[in-house]
Amino acid sequence: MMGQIMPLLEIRDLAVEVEGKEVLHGVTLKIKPGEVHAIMGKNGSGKTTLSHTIMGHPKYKVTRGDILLEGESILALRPDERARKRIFLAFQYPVAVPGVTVAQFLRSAILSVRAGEIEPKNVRKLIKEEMGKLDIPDSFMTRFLNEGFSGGEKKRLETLQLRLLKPKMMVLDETDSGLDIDSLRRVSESIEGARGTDKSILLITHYQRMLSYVKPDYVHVFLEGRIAKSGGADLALELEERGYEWLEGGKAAALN
Amino acid sequence: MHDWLQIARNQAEERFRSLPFPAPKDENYRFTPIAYREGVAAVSAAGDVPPAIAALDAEEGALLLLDGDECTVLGQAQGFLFTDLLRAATLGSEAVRLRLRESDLFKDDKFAQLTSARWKNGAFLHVPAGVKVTKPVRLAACARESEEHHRNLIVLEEGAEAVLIQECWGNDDLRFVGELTEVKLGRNSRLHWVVLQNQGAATDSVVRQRIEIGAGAELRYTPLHLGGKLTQVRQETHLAGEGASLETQGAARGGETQHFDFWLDARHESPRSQSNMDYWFVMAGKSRGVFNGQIEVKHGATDCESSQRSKSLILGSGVVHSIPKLLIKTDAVKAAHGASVSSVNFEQIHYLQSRGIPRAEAERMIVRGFTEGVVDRLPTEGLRGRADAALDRKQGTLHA
Repeated sequence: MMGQIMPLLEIRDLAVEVEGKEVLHGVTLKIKPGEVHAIMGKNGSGKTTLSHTIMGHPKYKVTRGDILLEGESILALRPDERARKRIFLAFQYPVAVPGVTVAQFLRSAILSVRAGEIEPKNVRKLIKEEMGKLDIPDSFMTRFLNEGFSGGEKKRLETLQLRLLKPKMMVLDETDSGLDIDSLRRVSESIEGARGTDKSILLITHYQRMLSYVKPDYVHVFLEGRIAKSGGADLALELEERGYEWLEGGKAAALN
Repeated sequence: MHDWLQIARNQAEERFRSLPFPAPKDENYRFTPIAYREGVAAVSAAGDVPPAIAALDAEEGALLLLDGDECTVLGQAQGFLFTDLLRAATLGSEAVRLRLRESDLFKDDKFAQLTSARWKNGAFLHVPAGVKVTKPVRLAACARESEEHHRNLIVLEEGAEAVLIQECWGNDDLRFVGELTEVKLGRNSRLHWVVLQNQGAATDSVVRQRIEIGAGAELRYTPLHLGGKLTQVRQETHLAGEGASLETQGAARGGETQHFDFWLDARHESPRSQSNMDYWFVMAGKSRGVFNGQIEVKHGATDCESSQRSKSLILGSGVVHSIPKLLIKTDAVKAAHGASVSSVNFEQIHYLQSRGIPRAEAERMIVRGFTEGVVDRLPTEGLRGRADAALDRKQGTLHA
């Protein structure tokens, strides 16, 4: 029966080029509604490439394969169209946008993604409520988007957006980096709160620590642009213990 | 013409003729070559002032419309005076005459003297002691001739309060506009002075402003410069009384080959005076901005706070020159200069797009964000609407 549920997100044999160089060499992944998948791997293994490709960053060129949301290819969609289909990427390094206040930005984003669902006059109240839950002070609203924000502040703002935009498919790119223990807990709880039976999470991380709050159903390990190993939550613990070299060694042995 | 006025004009004309044109190596004109030519063809433009500019808005208390030679006052100025300066000078008080006779205003400035000699009309706003003008008053200066000069005198006496909107408009004929404005704020008075500059595409305008702020008085200054070919505003502010305060949030949005030069000189002459000047530049095409700011803190003016900051967004091959100067002659002051320059980069647009905001809207938000804070300060809906419309027209030529 389980096999018949349509994946929320399906990645089929995806190959991606960045500036003429192939970075992903055929990644296949199925994420069903309600599932949490974690992707772990060393720097440069292609984790961030995958997240940006899902979001449709034009720098990342799909040369083979497909990405499907609820059975339909999204490759031809612009990033804003993907966002309106409720895909959300929490950026590892959100850019600063001087001149645009957090309030203006959130308002535009909410009214774009949740058009028809929320009345413009209620947007401010909604933002305030969610800010309160994340302990984000009111002064954030008049600051320029990510300008002069600390690493932790940026991550909290990403989390706030995630809460406000109500995505179905959440891609979290190292949302745990730059957070102290308390912030990590708060952010993780917030993400946990955004989970649902029809919502899925693809969580990219270096470390096990966030996975103790946001429990993954599956863990995949990236190695040189491919999924080298997949397993359950235990795989993350094993990796923490044995390091990535364990898998690299395995690969080396196989090649020999 | 009254003799005293004619004498004052003749004296100014003489000074104008005897002063040399600013040399290109003069630091204050280094990036701003003002090409004034005597006797540019004296063509009168048709009276095509947009109706919204020429009409009194419901939110406004009074409107002084200068349309070429004509001067019309609409609305009621109750308890204060808002009228044509020429009329006030010839019919009114000796104080006004004295002010206009005085020749110490920018004595070494060739263009100030030019305007002193040739001004035709302008605004006189006089708010007596203790009077709080509830609704904003607007001066709409619409240029018609190929060379026009306006002179304004703004006086708020002790404890007076007012909001003055100055809207400058012209069509696209070749034109030179000179302005000389004097502002005097008495003790504990408060003025919000708003400027919406929307001159025509072929207008060079040279503006000279001398401001004196008395003890405990506050000037909020909100200039938004959108039009004109070349604009130079020289503003000399004397923070004369203890605790005098100047707070400026200004912006310029340039395109094509537009040129905006803000030559700002804040002089702290008394203790505990404050001046904070923030300017936002959005320069597209080959437009150019100059932020030439000087902070001077005189002997004995202790515990002053002063800052001048420019933030620039560069689109296309626009340029902003920032020239900061600090002259501090006393201890225990806070003075700061800052300048930042950025461009719209693709990652910013992508970030907004990834939150569902369409690309065109994302670009608009980023560019408009730079002027939004200043537009927000415009005191009437009508004025904000006209500023928005002008900014929208510029958005259409984002990279031009």
